[in-house]
Amino acid sequence: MELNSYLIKLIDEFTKENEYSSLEADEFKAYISFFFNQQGILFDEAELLKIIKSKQND
Amino acid sequence: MIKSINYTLVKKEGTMSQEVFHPNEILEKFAKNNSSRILRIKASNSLGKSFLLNLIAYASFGSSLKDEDLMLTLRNSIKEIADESDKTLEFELKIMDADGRELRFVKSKKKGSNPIVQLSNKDETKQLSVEEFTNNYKLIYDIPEKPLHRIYQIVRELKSKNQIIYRWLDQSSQKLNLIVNSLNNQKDLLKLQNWENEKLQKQKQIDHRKADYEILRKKYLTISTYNTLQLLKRNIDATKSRIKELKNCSDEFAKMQAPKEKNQDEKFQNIIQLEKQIKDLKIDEKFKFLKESLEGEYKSSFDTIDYQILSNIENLLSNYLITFKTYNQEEISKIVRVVGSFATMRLEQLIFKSVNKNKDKDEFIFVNDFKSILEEISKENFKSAVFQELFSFEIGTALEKINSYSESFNDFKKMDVDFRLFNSLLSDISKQLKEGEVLSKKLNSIRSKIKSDPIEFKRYNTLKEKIETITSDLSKLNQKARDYRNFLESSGVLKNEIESRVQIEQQIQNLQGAFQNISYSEEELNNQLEEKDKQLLDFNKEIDELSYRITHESEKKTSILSDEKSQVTFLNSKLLNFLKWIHDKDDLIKDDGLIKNENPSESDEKYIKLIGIYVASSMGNKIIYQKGYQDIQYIDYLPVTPVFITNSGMRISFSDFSGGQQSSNYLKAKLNSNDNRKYIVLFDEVANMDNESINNVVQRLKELEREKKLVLAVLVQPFPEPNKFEIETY
Repeated sequence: MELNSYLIKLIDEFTKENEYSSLEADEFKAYISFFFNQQGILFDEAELLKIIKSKQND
Repeated sequence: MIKSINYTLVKKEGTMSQEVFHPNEILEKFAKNNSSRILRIKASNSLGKSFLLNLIAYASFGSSLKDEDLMLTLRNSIKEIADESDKTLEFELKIMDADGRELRFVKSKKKGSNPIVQLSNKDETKQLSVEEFTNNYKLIYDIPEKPLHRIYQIVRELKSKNQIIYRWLDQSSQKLNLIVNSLNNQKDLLKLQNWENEKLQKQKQIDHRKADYEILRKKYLTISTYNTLQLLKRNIDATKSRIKELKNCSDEFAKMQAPKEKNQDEKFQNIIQLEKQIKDLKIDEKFKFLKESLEGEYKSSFDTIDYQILSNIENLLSNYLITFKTYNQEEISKIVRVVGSFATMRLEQLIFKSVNKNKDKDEFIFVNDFKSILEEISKENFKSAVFQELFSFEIGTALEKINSYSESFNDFKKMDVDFRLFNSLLSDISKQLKEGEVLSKKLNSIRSKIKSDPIEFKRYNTLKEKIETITSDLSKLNQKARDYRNFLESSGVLKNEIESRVQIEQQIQNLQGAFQNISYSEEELNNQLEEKDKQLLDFNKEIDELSYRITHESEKKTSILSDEKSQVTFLNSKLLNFLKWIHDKDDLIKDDGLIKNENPSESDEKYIKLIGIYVASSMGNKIIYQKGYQDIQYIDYLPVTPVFITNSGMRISFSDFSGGQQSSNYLKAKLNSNDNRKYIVLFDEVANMDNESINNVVQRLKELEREKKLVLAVLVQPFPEPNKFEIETY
């Protein structure tokens, strides 16, 4: 199981346990994936803003 | 598949014991004639089977594998190959990958040179960096010893993954935290605008109040200038008058002769002193007080003689100072005599006129004495009892009665007190009359001894004192004038406009109209100015405070995420929770890969199941059990001994597996089907596995080959007999 797949499993468990709605869980997954894909490098605020905006539009 | 293999290993080069090694001929021939990708080499010791694996691992950048992916013994073996301190190695190994591309691994003879990897297809040849190679090819190099236990290695890998996830996300969390902090402390443009507006309003108010203040100040200036001009005018007049006075005094003084007699000054001083002492006796004033007090209290008791005597004394004392200063003996004796006779003959009769003094006095004394006796008796019980026996009533009752009777003597008591007081006053006056007589006599004696005119002397001294006083006054007036002029100049009046009285008068006339239009006094205006001054100061303080806030706020930064503060804060909180959750869950995995399964919470149980799913997935969800495959869903780590859970719900405990099956299951787990890279598989020492178990591993390798994910697999085991080298293919 690759790291990404494992992370997704973790997010699923966490969001279920914390009773996130499916919309909230998807949104959370998107943010975590964004942070995770930075691979430990500090993310760009503009990129985060883009995701926030796109999630607001969804 | 291996297309060609060639290497030259020279040990102890240039020495007598130099040794040179090349690939086994069987292997070279095999490479030329066989296209199989799965090789099982059985060879006797010292025929280079392990060297072959180490060489391939070295060429495939095996030393860059993580600790958890490469056993320490194998890592050391790769290091030994790379170490050319006592040997040289050159090699060229060509392997065709599953996509028909050629991988050429080559190292030159040059000591310390690194191996390179070239990837060729029909069109081009490209050298691969370590990263490019490892991104596309997965090297598995292992020895399947104690294999089932090493399934826990997979769990440790999971722990390592947790830590990577945690570390990477934690970086983002820290940055989010910084953003949230900066958003909480970012520039508030709305607040800034409000403060700017407030400051502007305050400034306008201040300007308005300053204008009011200025009008008021001008009025105050007018009125204070006007008043000061008046004061200066009066000052000039007073100065002029005093100068005139001084001139007169000086002229008169110049004409006078200063007293020349020896000790005359001292005698005159004594005279002055004695005269003062006579004056300080104030006999006339004391008598006046006595007469008025008597008239106030006892006027109705006065008869004609009393009036006559008191008026006579008053008349005699009206010239008291002259009488005593000039030592008029006759008059002095008369006063002494009349005062004495009034004290002895008239005073008592006058005061006690309304009562029968003697009778009242005797009775008053008796009542008081009796009262004292009764009070004395009442203090002792025995005496009180005797009293009661004798008089048939209580001592307390007797005291009440005597007190009541005593009150009827109140008028008498007051007269008695007054008499003592007036008598004492008269006695004092009599004494002071005698004292005055002595002083008068002494004064007369000194005066008779002075030859020069004492009056002239006194005039001389008085004039001298007057000149000194006027001079001092002039100095004060002069100082005042300077102050007035300074003030006027500071108020805008020109110096040369107030030099003369006429000019000052003109200035007063000029200001007259403006002065009359002001309805407040200088003091009232001053109070108003002070009040306005205070208000302006308060306003300025408020503006300073606003300016400070504005500056402080302006220095803060803005963020492009300003409008998303709540979203970012919420996200940060969620991410922190997630990180804590990961941390808590990771704690369930011990460093040795065992699971903390004592009294897990519901949440922990779910995660432990996830671990089981992960490990099962890493094993391709299949295990070999009792000579066949079993599909497994997950591994249940909750029991003391972990259990495989099959798709049919069967539970197979770890302890149910043979060693060979354990090896097989472990190697299968290593051959993770979830990785998209192409595999180079090197397994050493597979001898502890039975054929069936090896076949199971081979089956998995064949699956990879079918999926075009296998580049090469070499399984090696020792051959018990010497000089044997066999290659089996699948």
